[in-house]
Amino acid sequence: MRAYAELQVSSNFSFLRGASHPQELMAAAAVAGLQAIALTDRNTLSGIVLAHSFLKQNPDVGTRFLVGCRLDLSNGASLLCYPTGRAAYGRLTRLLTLGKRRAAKGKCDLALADVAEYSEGQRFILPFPEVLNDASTRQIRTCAAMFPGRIYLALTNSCRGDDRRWIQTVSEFARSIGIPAVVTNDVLYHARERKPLQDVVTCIREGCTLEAAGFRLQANAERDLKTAREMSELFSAYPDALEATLEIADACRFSLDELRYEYPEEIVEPGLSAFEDLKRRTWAGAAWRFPNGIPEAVSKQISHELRLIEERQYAPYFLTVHEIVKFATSKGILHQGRGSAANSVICFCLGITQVDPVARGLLFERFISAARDEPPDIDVDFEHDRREEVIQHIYEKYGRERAGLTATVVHYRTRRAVREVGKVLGLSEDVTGALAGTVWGWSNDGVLEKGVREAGLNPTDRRLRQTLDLTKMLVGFPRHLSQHVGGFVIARGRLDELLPIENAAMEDRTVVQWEKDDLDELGMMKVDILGLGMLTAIRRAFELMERHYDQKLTLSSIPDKDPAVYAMLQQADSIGVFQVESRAQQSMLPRLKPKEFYDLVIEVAIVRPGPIQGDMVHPYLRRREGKEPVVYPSPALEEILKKTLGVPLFQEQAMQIAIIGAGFTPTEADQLRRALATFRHVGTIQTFRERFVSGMLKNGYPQDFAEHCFSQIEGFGTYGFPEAHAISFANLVLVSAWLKCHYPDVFCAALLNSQPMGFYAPAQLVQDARNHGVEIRPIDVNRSDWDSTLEPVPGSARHAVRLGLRMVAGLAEKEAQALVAARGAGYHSPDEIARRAGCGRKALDRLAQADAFQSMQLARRQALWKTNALDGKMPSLFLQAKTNLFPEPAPELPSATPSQEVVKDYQAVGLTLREHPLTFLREVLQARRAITVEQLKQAPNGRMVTVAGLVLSRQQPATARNTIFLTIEDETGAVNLIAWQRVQEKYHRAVLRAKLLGCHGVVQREGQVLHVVANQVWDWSDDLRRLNAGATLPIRSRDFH
Amino acid sequence: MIDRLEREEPRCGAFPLAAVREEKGHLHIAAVNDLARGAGIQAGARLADARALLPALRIVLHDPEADERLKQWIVEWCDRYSPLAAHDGADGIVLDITGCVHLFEGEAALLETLETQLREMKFHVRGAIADTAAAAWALARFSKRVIVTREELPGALDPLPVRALRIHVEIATELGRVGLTTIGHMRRIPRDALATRYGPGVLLRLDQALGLAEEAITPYRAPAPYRTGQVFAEPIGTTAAVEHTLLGLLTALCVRLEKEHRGARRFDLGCHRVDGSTAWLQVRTSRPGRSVTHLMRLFSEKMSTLDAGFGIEIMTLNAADVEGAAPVQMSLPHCGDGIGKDTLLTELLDRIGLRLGFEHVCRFQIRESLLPEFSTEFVPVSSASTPNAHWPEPRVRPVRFLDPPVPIEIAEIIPGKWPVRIRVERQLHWIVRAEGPERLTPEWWRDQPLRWATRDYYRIESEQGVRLWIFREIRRTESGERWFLHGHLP
Repeated sequence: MRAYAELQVSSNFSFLRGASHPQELMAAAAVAGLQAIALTDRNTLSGIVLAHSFLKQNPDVGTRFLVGCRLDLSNGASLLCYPTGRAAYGRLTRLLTLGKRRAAKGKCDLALADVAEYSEGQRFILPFPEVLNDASTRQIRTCAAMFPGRIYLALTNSCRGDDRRWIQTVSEFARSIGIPAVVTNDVLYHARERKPLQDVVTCIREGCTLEAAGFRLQANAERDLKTAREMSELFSAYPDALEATLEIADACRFSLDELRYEYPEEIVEPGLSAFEDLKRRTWAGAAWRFPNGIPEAVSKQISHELRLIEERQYAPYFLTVHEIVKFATSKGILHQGRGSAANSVICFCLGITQVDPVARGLLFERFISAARDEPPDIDVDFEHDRREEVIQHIYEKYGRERAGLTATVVHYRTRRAVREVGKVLGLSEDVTGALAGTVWGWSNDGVLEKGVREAGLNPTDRRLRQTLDLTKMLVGFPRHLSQHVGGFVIARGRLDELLPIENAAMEDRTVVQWEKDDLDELGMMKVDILGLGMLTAIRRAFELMERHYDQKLTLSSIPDKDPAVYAMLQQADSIGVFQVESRAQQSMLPRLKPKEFYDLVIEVAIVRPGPIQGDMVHPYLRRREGKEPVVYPSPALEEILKKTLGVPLFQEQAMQIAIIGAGFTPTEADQLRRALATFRHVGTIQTFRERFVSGMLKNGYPQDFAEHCFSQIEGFGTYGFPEAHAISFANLVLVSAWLKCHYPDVFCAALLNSQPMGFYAPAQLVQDARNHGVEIRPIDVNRSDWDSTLEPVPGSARHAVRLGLRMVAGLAEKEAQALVAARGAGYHSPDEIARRAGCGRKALDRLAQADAFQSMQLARRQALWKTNALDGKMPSLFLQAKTNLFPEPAPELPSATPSQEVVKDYQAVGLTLREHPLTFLREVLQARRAITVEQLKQAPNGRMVTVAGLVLSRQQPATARNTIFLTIEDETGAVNLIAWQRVQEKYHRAVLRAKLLGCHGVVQREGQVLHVVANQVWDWSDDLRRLNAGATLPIRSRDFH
Repeated sequence: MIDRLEREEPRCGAFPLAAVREEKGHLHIAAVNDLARGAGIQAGARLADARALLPALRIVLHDPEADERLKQWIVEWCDRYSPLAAHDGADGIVLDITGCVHLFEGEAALLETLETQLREMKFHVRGAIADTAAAAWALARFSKRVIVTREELPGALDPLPVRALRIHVEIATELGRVGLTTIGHMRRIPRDALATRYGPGVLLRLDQALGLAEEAITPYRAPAPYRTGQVFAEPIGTTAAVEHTLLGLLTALCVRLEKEHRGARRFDLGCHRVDGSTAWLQVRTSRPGRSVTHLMRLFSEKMSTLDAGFGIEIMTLNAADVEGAAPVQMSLPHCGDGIGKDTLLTELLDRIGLRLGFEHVCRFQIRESLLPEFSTEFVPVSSASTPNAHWPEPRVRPVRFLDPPVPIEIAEIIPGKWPVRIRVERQLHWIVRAEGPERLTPEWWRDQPLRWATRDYYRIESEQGVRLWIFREIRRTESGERWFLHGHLP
C-alpha cells in the first residue's frame, strides 16, 4: 500500500454539490489514514476554517490539512489551486476577491488570464477530463504551457465501465504533453451513505425531481472519501501519479496558523506608539468622565487594565473602536457599547460604554480572559437609522480592501429543508406544506413524528420516511452566505490577502467569506456595529429636552436613584420604555419591584429564555420576597452567586460554575459556551455534560444538583446575557424610564419620530401619553412638521405633542418637507399648497385623507373633494382660471358619521384622536354581555367574564410553545389574554386572525398582574364593518414569535 | 374554475377546495369552493395564509385555459337563447334578447329557464334583465331585483354601490373617500365636477347604465368548421367517381389547412346514399396531416369497404382534431433526403396504424436512467415525443436485455475481479478479455429499490468470440456473490 493524499474534495460549502460538512470530511480522512487532505470548494474558502480548526482541536490526528480551492472559470474550465505558502495564499484570496467583486452576489467571474496573474507560488491540478476533444485538449495544453512545472492532470476512477482504458488514454495524453498525472477521487461526500443526500442536493440545484433528474445524477456512489489502501489498489498501475499527491502535499506548507492579523495603524497619533496613545487618551477621557477628580479606585483600575492591554498588545484594537465612536460623537450619533466591553473602565473613559464599571463592581478580567488568546470583542449599538453613516465612514476611512462585513452562513433549517427535500422526492406542495407547517419557527430538530401524525400523514410511509431522514441530514447544511448584521473586520494591510471579499446583496456593502467564529478562531479583530431603535428615540428626546426644557442630557447623566422612576416601573407603567415594555417584562415588574439600578439589571437579565428555561425565575423571586432562604451550594459558589441570591442569572455566572464547581479550565468553559451557542460543534455537548457532571461530583456536589446546573447552563448558552451587557441595557431602561416619568410629552414625540421600533404601535404610544395627561394635537398642514413636535400649552409647564406629517400614510418625506418649507404665514386652501410648495395631487389627497386641513375649516370629505380636483402635479391653469372666475358650487357630499371618521383616521394615520372604535360598538358588545376593561379591573380573582377588544399583539414565546399571549384593547384600556393549546386548537382562526376578539374566560390575579385565561374565543371582526358601511378597520396586530 | 372541477368530479363539493396559481414565487388562491369560502378563504390570498386558517384545505392547480374553454362552451350554448351572446369580463356572459323574448313567454320565463338549465349543469349563476347591458351587469351582481324596466331603472340603480358601474376600482375607492358610495350619490353631483375629478369615463359608465349612451355587444361567433361537400345532380356509384370527388374535396380542405398552418389527425368522409342512409369512411394520421397524396392513399386503403348502394348523391368531408402544424419545406427534386425520408416513414406508420390500430404501433424510447430495467420504455409511435435523451458516451449496452437476467455459474474467477471460466445454460465459456466494472447503484427513491442491489457490470469476450454483458450483484447482507448474464453484445 502506498501513502496517499486526497486533493480534490468538495464539502457542502460548494453549495448544493458537496454532501458532507468539512469536519466530517476531516474526521473521515483521519480514519482513512490519508497523509493529507485538501478542501477544494468552488470559488470559495468559506469552509477552510472549520476544517482547519477541526484538525487543530484533534491534534492526535495524523492527517494534514491543505488549503485549496476549485476555480470555476467563466469559460467553463476548472482548475484546482493550492497555495504553497503565505504569499501565494494571499494571491489566491486576492484572485477570489477580484472574481467575486466583479460579479453579482454569489457569483464569480474569472478568466484564465486572471489566474495567471496571481499564479505565483500556486500548484494546480486540472480535473480529470470526461472526454478528450479539440476544446478540452486545447484547454489542457494552454494551462500546461502557462504553469509549467506546477500543474498536474488528475486521474479519477468513476467505475463507468471503461475506466482502465480511459485512464490509460488520459495518462498517455498527459505524458505526451509533458505534464505529470496525479490521482484524485473528486470527493463529494465522506461516506457512501451520503449518496442519497448528494442526489437530493443535485436535484435542488437543478430544480427537478429525482424522477426527472435522469443522467444528472451520479450512477454510483464512488465519489466518497476512500482509504489510502483502496486508492493505491485502484491505481496500482500508476505509482507515480499516487506519489504525486504527496509531492503536492509536501510543496504546500501553508497553514492558516500563519495568518498574522495586524491592527490598522493610521489611528495612532504620529510619534506615539499605539499603547502610549491609548494611555494618553484614556487619562484624558478619565478627566472628562470625572470632572471632580478621578477616584482612586478608578485610577487603580485604569492602571491595571492598561497593564493587561500592554501585555497583550491590544491597544490598537481599543484605538480602532475609539476612532469609530469618535466619528459617531462628532456627527451627534448616539451610541453605547454593549456586551462584555462594559466591564472595562477604559471603554468607559473612551466613551465607548456609558456605565462606570468601577461603581458597578464589574471585573475587567471577564472582558479579556487571561486564558483566551483571542482579541477582545467590543460591540457598539448606534442609532438604528444612522448606523449606515458609521458603516460608510469605516469603508471610506479604511477602503474596501481593508474593511469588510463578516459573513453569516445561512443554514438549512427544518422548514426549508423539508420543503425542498419533499419537492425533490416528488411529494406534492400539499404534503410538504403540511409537513413544514408542523415545524415552529427556526427549529433545527427536523420534523418530528408527532407533527407528521398531526398533519394527518402516515409517518411509516416509505417516501415520507425518506423525506424526513434526508431532511434531518440536510438541516445544518450551509445554503448561502449572507452578511452579518454589523460585524466589521478591519486590517492594517490588505484584508483581501487574508481572506476573500465578496459583494453583499445590499449595494455599497462588501462581505468577507468567513463567519464571526471563523475570525475568532484565527484571532482577527472585529467590531460589531449594531443598530438600536431606542438610541434613536433617546437622541431625539435629548434634542427636544434641550430645545424646549433647556436641559442638556447624556446617556450617563441620568440620576439612577430617582424614586419616582422606580415607583412608575413597579406599577408596570412601562409602555415605550426600553426592554421592559414587553408583555412578559410587564408582568415581571410588579413582582420584582425594582428599587435600585441593579434591580433593573436583573429585570433585563431574568426575562430571557435562558433563565426561564433553566427554571431560575421562580427561585429568584421567592428568595427576593423572603419566602425561601438564600442558600449556596458551597462557599466557593457563594462568591459567584451572591449578587443574585444564589441563583445564576448571568452568562458568566454559569461559566464560573463550570470553572469553580466542575473544574473546567477557562478555555474549556469558553468552548462550552460556544458549543452551546451554535450548532457548529454538533455532538460535543454530550461530552461536555459528562465532563461537567463528573467534575461536580468530584468536587463534592450532589448528582442531581450537577445535572440541574448543567441544564441551566444549556439554557444560558443560547440566550443568556452577560452581566455587563445587562448593565448596559439597564442603563437605557433607566434613561427611557426617566424620560417617560418626568417628560411624557418629550418621550412620546421622540418615540413617534423613531418608528418603527419597539413593541407598541403609535396608537398605543399616543394613548399612553394621553393617559399621562399629555395633550395630543392632530396633524395639520398649517401646524405640523415632518416630525412630531412640541407646542407650548399656555399656563402649563408641559408641552402638547403635535403629530408630525411623517405619520400620514403614503406621504413622501420630500413633499412634506417642501410643504413645511414654503408654509410661511400659512396656507388658505389646498391649491395654494399645490402652487407654493409644488405638492402633487397624490400628496394632497393623502393629507386630506389624514384630515390635515382642519385649520382651513375643511372637513375630510370637503378637503378631498378639493384636492381631487387638482390635476396631476400642478393645478391646470385652465382649471385655476375657471374656478377663480366661476367658483364651483360646494356640492352636497353626504356627511360622514363619527364612526366613519374614526375608521378613516385609522386608515390614514394608524390612530385616532377621536373616540375609540369600540365606543361605537359598545351596545352590541353589551348585548353579548361583554364588560369593559375598566369593569374587568374590579372583577375578583376566579370570576368568569366576557371581554372584547381590538387585538394589539400576539406572542408565542419560545419558552412556552403551547401558549399564545394576546393583548386586546377597548375604549377603557388594555388587558392580556392567555390562550392555552386546547383553546388555540378549538378556536384556531379566531386566535390567529381576529382583529376584534371576544373572549370568555377566568380572571386571574397575581398581585397587581391581571389577565384573563380564555375558555372560549370568538372572532367578532365582522362587527367592525358596522363602523364604516362595509369597510373594515385597518388595524394589524404586532405578532411576535 | 371551481364549477368546472365540481362538474368533473362531484365529490369536490365535499371538502374545502381551492385552485392556486403561482405569482412571483408564491402560491396564491385563484378560486375557492363554498366550503372554503365559508371558512373565510378568499381569492387572492396567499396559500400559506389560507393553510394557516384551514389546514384541511385541498388544492388543485389553477388552469385558466380549461376555464376559458368551458366558458367558451357556455357562450356557445347560450346561442339557443339569443344569437347575440358575448363574453363579458372574466365571469360574465351578456345576451341581447331583443326580439327573442316571445319564444319564451316573457322575460321572467326566459331568465328562469336559462338559470335553471345552467344550474342543472352545476353552474353557479345569477342573472338579471334590464334595458341596458350595463344595468343588467350591475343588477346581476349587486341587486336582488332581476328584471327592471326602463322607467324603474334609475330607482333600481340608485342604491347600488358605485362599483356596479364597472368603473375602475381605484376610482370607486376615491369616490368612496369623499362619501360618494352609491350611484344615487353620484347622480346628485354636477356632472362637470365629476368629470374634472374622475375623468369622463365615469360619466360614460353612468350614462351607459341609464341608457343615455350606446354600448355595443360584440357577439361571439364560432369559427367555420373544417368541412366541405359536394352535391351531385346524378347519383354516382363507381369507386373512381368517388375517388375523383374525394380528391377535389381533400384538395380544397388541405389548401385551407395549409394556409392556416394547421393539420388534422382525423378525416371523415360521409357518403349520403339516395336512400337516405350514410356510409362513413374514416382515416387517422399519427401527426397532424394535410398532404393530399398521403391522405388519398390512406382513403384508397379503405375504399374497398365502401358500399355505394343505389348511388351517392351527396359527399361531405370533415376534418377533426385540427392542430397547429408548421409549414414544411418541400424537398427539392434530386436532392431530397432527410425530410423526405422522415415523411415517408410517417406515411408508412400511418398506413400500418390504419390497419392494426395506432396504439399497436410502438417504438422504444430512451428514459434517462442508467439502470437497464428502467432505461427504455415502449410507447405508441403516435404519442412518442422526439427523443432528446442520449446515452452518456462510453456506456455500452446490448441491443436486448434478457428479462429476467440469466444466472450464470462461475467456474473460476480472479478474486475481486471478473470470472475466467463461466457456464451459461450448460455451455462453458473461457473468458479471454474483460472490461469493467461499470458500477450502478439502485435508484433508491424508486418504490421497490431493494430488488436491485448495487451491480458491477463487465463486458467479456470468450475464446469463441462470444461477447456477453454480465454483472455481479453486490449485496451487503448475503455472503457470496451472484452473477448474471444480462445481454449479448455485438
